[in-house]
Amino acid sequence: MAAVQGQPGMRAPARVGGWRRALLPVVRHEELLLLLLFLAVVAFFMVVEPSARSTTAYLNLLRDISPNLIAGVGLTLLLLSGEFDLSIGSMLAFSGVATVSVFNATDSMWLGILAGLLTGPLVGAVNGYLVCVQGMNSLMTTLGMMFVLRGIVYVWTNKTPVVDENKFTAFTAFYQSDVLGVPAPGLIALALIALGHVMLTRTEFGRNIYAIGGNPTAARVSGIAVNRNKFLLFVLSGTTAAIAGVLVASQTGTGYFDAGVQGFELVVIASAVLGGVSLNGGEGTLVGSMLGVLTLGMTGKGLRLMNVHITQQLVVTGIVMLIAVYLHGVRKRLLIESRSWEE
Amino acid sequence: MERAPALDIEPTARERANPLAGAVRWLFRTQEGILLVVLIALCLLLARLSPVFASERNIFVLLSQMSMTAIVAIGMTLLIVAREIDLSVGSMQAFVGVVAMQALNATEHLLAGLAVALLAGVAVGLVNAGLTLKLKINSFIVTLAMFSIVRGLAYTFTAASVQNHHKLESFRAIGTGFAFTLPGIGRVPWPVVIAAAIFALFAVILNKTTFGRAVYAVGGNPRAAELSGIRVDLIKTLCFVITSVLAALAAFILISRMNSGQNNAGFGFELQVIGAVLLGGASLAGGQGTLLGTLLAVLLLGTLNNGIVLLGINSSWQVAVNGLVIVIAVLLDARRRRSLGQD
Repeated sequence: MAAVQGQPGMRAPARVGGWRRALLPVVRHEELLLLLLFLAVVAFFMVVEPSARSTTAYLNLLRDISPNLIAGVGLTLLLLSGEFDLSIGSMLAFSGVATVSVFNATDSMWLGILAGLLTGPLVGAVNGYLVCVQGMNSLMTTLGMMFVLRGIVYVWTNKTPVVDENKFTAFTAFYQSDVLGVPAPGLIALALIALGHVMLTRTEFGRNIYAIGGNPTAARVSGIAVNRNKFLLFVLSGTTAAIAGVLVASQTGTGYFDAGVQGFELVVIASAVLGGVSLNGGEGTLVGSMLGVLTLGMTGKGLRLMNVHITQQLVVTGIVMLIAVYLHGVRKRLLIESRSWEE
Repeated sequence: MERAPALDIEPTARERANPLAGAVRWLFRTQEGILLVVLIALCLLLARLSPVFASERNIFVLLSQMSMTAIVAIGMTLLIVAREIDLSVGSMQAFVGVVAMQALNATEHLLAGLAVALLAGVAVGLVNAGLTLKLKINSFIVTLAMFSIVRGLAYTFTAASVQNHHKLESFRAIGTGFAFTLPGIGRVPWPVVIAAAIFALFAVILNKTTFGRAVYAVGGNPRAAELSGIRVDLIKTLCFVITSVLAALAAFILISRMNSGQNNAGFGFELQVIGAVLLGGASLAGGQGTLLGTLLAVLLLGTLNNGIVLLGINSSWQVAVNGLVIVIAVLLDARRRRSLGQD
């Protein structure tokens, strides 16, 4: 900046206080802001709650929120392209019930898991067909699919949990197991996040997602197959939700008809938005979204460790969400302002 | 100014010459017309299949059950037309129900309880509007956070439910009593009268007043509305408050029908209401939608659910059929738009 100041003909720089300049890295990098927010939440609980100081608490947190992280990967990519998927909560129940039902029908663990995972691309393809081929609004379509899938699960199970009659211990043990000290479901989540991040930042598909979300018409005109890309994203979102559903079923070896019924889809969307993903598409990152999941997850976990009643948990979660979204707005305004600091 | 989605097609010369052709076109080309045709067909079918369906008792039970959805959907229509949304109306059923029942128990006065309920509605509506308009956060996010916060507040007031200790007869009458007898038809329940009165009131407000025209203008093109001197924030604030107050009124009817205020009331209610409003022809893009469409959609969904019960079909199908109706409605809407070249 000093060099700029010395050049003749340049406008004198606005006098900007040191605290504002110290904010610059946070203003420029959204993930840094989110990381600080997450660390602030962690630090708060470490101070007030002794049991939040152990490493196991955080490893358990990773295990607990792995379904949210996994379903969040597919949903975030879809949100970035400017579309919605409200059916992932019902998918959680649908794939879990499918898995355990096929266990009982075929006595084969692998066939069951395969069936559970296949429900994802299947439902995703239906959503994708309706939105991309028929030109239906995705919020409405997946809202309808949310009820359709939940209804199918209710009719299928008669509103009773489907219990694994073979007692496949490998299935339930997997959820509880650790690999190199890290919970196995958490590792799956981390692998999927890494895969999604590379796809989003290093491939043409990833660039297309941002282009489509930012301006679909411009994307179409510049030769991007908008509908084909969106179709793939719906399949992807269904698939990650199905993986999450199979994991939820593996917690106790039971297919729950009411898995995700208390607003799983809304919590994952809230986490993504908290992580800086814009609901209009084209803005945000997968890493940010995942930090959003962690922050909301940590808030809930910390309050549970403190034995705070579910009451305040809900209230605090909502408030944390509002603060985070407000901070994103402030960051955006500062980002625009910061350009003038350097002139 | 455009009101209904399909009324913007000019009638052809032949249709102008023949009013009947215009009526036929209204029936088969507009969302309201199609809903009306489907609703009548469904009623005729159910009357044939079940002797109970057309009975006075069943029709009024059906209408009473739907009155709460209808009341909230009226407010939601205004809000969606103004290009905002409210996801907190389901949690409001729990919060207002619990608070109002406690107020009734404390004061043993019907109007005091009703006043507390409606004031709670005003308060939540103002918070929704303030956060959305002053902090400039997307209302989908604000009310998603409030969905969590308001539900949490309901839990703070009671661990499960607040029972009726005041034994006011007028209180029970609101949900289960009869207002008057229609000669030749039967005794009309209070909830139906309240819903009909609110519908009539808002039909006039939306179609005959400056405020109503402003709501459409704000949703259709906020920038143009602002430039033409409409106070956009004021209009939107009123829409938020109206929606919350009507949600509070529905909650009051609900506790009267259940005879207790329960903190788990209204799970998923918000998505049912929004589903009905969109089925009725409103667009999330704002500026489009009619109260008639919303009312017909609520009636259609309620009649379907009633039919499923009367025909002895597993009631779990209700959820799936509701979802399917929404998907089909959006599909038809997408096709109609395409054929009109509005893609």
